[in-house]
Amino acid sequence: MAKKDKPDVPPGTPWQKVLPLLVAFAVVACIGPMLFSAYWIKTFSSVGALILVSGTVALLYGQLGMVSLAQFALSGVGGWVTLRLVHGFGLPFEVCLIAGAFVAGLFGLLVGLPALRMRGLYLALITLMMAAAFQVVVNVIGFPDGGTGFTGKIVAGQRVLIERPWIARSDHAYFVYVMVWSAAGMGLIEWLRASRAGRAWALIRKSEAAAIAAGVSVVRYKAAAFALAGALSGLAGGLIAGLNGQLDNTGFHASQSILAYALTVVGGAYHWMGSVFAGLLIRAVPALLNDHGVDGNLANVFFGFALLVSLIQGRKGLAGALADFYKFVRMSRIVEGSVQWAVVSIGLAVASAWAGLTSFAGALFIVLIALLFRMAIPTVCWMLLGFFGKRVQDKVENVEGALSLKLSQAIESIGLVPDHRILKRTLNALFVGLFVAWVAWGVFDVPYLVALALIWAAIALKAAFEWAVYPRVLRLRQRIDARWPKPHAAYR
Amino acid sequence: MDTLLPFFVVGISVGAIYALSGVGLVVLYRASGVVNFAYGALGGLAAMVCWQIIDLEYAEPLGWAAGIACATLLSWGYGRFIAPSLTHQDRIVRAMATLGFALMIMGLAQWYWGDTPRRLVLPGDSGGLEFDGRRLISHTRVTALALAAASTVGMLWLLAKTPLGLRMRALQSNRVLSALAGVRVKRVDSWAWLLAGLFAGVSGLFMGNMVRLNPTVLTFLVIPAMAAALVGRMNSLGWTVFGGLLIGVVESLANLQPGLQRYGSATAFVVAILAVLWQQRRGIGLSRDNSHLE
Amino acid sequence: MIEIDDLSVQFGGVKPIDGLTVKLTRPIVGLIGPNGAGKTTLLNVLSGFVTPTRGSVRVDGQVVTGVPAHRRAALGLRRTFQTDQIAEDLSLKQNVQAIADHVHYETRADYDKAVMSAIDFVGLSRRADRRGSELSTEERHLTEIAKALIGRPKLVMLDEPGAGMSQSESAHLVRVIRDIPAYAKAQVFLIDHDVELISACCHETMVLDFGRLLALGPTLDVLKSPDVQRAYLGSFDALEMTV
Repeated sequence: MAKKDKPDVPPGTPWQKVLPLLVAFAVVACIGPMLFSAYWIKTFSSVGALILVSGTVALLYGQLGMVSLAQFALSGVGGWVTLRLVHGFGLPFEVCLIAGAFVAGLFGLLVGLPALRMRGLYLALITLMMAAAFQVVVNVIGFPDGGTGFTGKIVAGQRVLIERPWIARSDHAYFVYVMVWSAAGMGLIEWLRASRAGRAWALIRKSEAAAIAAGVSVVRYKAAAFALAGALSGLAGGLIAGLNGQLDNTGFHASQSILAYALTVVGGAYHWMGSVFAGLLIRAVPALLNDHGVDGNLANVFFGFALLVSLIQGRKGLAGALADFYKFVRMSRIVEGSVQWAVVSIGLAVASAWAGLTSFAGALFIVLIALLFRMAIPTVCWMLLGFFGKRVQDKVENVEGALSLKLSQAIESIGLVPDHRILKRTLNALFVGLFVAWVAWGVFDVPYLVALALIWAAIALKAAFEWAVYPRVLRLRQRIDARWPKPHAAYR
Repeated sequence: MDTLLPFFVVGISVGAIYALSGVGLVVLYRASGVVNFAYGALGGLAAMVCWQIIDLEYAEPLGWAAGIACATLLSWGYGRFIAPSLTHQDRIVRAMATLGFALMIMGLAQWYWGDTPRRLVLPGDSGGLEFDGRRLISHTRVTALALAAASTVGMLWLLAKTPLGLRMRALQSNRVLSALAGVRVKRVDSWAWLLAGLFAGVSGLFMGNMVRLNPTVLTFLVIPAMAAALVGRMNSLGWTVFGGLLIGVVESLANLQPGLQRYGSATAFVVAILAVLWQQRRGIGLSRDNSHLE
Repeated sequence: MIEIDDLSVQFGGVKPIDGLTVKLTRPIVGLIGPNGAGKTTLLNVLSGFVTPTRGSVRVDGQVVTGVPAHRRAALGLRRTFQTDQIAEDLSLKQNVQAIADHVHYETRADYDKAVMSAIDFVGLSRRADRRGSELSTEERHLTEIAKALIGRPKLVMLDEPGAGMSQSESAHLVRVIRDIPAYAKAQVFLIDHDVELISACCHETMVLDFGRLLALGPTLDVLKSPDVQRAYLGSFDALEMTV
């Protein structure tokens, strides 16, 4: 019998798929409170909830191909119910949270009912209508804040905030609390995706007729997806209510629901990492801009642009780009790069902490973010160029290649061995340094020049390291590549 | 009955503006298959530009022309340069791309002009039609009504009697075959987007006059326009007009009932949802090529 | 065994099937006919996507008309579609598992065995963990057939399973189709334009023309009949039948 082809989709139990997600969330939940300032810990708490909302959008769109522009409105429903129950009956927070999720799930089912009978575009429009309708309703009745009657709205007097659950009173504790719930929700989605439900959804997405012919109850699976998406969104809404003690109707404008969808696509609707990116984009980017006095509306311009580019590229968002990176890069490069970066970043972090410039964790984080941007920025630039058409992309690539060649030849003539992409890497390094140092200054209160020096030192050291060990690791590289071949990678 | 009449008339005049927007949306959808979420944003931009020009003390007609030209140009530009990159993708993706476009325009307009309360005054605002000594509707609204009627008839004529209209209908029927048969797809599409921009600009001015002059609010007025278009099942101009008028009238009549008054602006959505549920009542069946249900 | 009794289907002014009465008993039955003859409509009636205006269909003695499409699989009627229905993001094995998920198996081991057995049968076990988007046309069609063999079917309906295949790929397809009755204890109903495929696989063939039965009988006889040749085939002298 012929040897089996290397699996594209490694068979694995659902647990194996969920574990990385849980680990990642756990890591962030542990490190976060150590790193973030008071303002940012609250921001990242709402990011955690928004990741869950984005996860539900991704579930409906990525798995089932259905656009729901009402998910954020559903989180508003969940938040409303949570607030009302806490104010009205004094029940424990968790009970109200679950109840809110339950009601939001019912509403999600309602949203999904039309979906059972109509084509995708109509569903998008109907969900938009529903989000807009919710906006009107919530503007009229407002969010409960301690009053009596059905709406629980205080007519005259001080608004009452709800209290956080006793295990999560402080901001830091609540952050971990949100992370736990968010991980549970995202983990549930991921688990379902890897099991029978995910297969049924994939089948339905490709062809409802085939699903029906195979005996799959399309109605049941679609309804289940909408109910789940609604419930988890409602849960997220309750968590946000708990974060601030209240909810504001201005925060549930129809545009929020649209943004939730748009940024899920930009982040990547086909992988849970995409939802993480989306959550960060929705909440952290405007916050960062506000921090520095930049009008939040420009964030919308950027998001609209990013959505356009993502859709034109047909790719699977940022998460997809990263996945492609893993698919198309040799294992040896990944291993080597990881080792080198680990050494350099830890070394610099230690040095920086010892010299009193920054904390160990802070320096480490900055270098790692710089690394992330260093990988992402060429892809993003490529996507932006793609916006102008393939011809422009090709032209820029040719020009860059030619200049790079000239530069390489110049370097060779003075006796050094150049990288064949030296121009691109140098420009990238310069830009990454300037940009990430700005982020570090804004988010972590690290002096700009210190951050800049740190980043550029890291990049330079890593390059030097790589250049120094290159001849010695050639054999090791070949052995690694042989052990873990990548059929799609380019072996240049 | 007498007490209802003013509400009815006001409703019709407001509905006419929704109808006007809806017609533009449907024409574009029929010709290019794209649901243009940026419709409201373009209209909002037109209204803001118009206001700005008038605010700078230039002649009013210049303001109108500039606003409408802005919307038309941007819409045409999108259709000419960006939409072609998306034609191979499905309808949802193409519609969502216009959403991105809408966010961009809205963001820029909101950033530039901000939330300062403003009013767009059109010349027809002062005078109006009277009934029983009370002013019923302003000349502006009457003009809107007349424009809605005229443009619908105009569009119907265009689609039925002109070569361009024929090509638009061909594209709607089957893009690939039409292209093979020699229809200049890009050119016809550009015309469709241009017309859509024109409609967006004009209806934007009227919306700006009728509602607040705020870019975000105006962007989301695309939703009632879509509601009207949904009543027309994204296809029939006549039913779209009917839908727009219906929404306007129901919204207006909601003001009669004190409890419903504040929910008035949700009318469009309720009407649209009900309309779609009714249209889809027969459920789904197998498509022509047996590959999916529709 | 398929028993069709006075079947008529009418859509508005079109009558794709008009008073069809026929009994199909051989293990592999073929259906050919010009476009618009009602072949796909008949398949849709059998699989439940189209409700006939008149008449009934029985499979192995059990009436199937009136049973909704999503319950036909449980009755043992499985079909493939002309355009492939492979979920791109799932592996081949997961695609087949998606079908097996909705069949009752005693144990997990039975489930796994059924899935791998079907994949083995069509000869794709080497490619079982390949992503759907990576599969070739032939592999997609074979996967569709594997999916239709899950769950002890009584009737396997194949809709143009050989579309887009080369000569050698078709030879493999012929072997697979001919082995289905022995492997799955099911009857095969094969619709195709490829007359060579039909003649290589089918014991008896039915010819539809304008919704009416034009011919039914042993394949070679049917293909050589002058009526059929006039309506559909043109002249067809040198045809070899290997069944």
